[in-house]
Amino acid sequence: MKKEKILRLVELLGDDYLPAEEEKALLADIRASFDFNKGFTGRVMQRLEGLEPGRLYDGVIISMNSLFLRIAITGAAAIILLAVSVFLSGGDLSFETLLGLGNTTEEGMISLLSGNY
Amino acid sequence: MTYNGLTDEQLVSLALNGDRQAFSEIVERYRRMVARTVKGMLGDNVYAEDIGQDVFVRLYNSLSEFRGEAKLATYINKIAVNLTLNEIKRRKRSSGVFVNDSQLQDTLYDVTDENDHDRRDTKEIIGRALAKLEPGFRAVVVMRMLEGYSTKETAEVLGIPMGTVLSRLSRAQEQLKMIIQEYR
Repeated sequence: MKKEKILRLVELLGDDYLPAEEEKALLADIRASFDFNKGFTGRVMQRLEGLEPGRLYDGVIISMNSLFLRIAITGAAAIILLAVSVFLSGGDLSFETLLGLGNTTEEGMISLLSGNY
Repeated sequence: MTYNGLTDEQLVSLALNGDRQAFSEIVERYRRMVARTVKGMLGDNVYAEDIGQDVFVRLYNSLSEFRGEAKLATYINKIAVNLTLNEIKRRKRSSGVFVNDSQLQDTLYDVTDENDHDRRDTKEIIGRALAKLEPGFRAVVVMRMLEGYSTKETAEVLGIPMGTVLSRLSRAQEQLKMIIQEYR
């Protein structure tokens, strides 16, 4: 009997099937019986303590800022290491040596081809 | 001030202005609806309450995104469906096992009125049958059977074409019939 009732509820899934009064009542009964445990609303409101409404992207912006800071620090450290390395190998630290345009190496075509650099 | 008589739009507006009581009324108003969606798809287990809370926290954080074009109920249910499907995927990834009948065996569908055996049995049979469906099919059935949505509303909430809803419904119906027939 119970199985038949449920099978008829399954039939209700189709748009072209109109529920009888008994089925309507059964469905309403089943729907009404779903709930969370007592105090659910209170627990939700507790979780919202200190939060501002409608600030979905605040967390994302904070994490992006922190990500940017990390990348910036890493980049700055890499530039400093490069400058130190150039200074040690080139002997001075001008803008040109930093760009690899110093006169410490011969960059003519002949010297490059002959490996005499 | 009483909040019962206020419309959803009024409550959202008040909540956006920092009226926490107004948001509390929204939670009260849509608590059962979210429970139907989350528990219908996930079963009545420990995760369901957490997901239910997450739904309202997400709603609170995205209140300014709600433009009033759709009904608030639809907006909330979209969040509920997305978070529940994410949870199902997460559990599938972490355990390698789909949330199925065996996992939900004793935890499906909490029945508050223990004396109502008939209703409990009905819910239990439905719950066990739903647990055997693929998540996509299950979502469609939950929207239609438990939320009472039309095909169009179901398509809107799930973000899929109406044709897909209809085909999923049809296949889910067949599967449900077979599962329920086997049930003793």
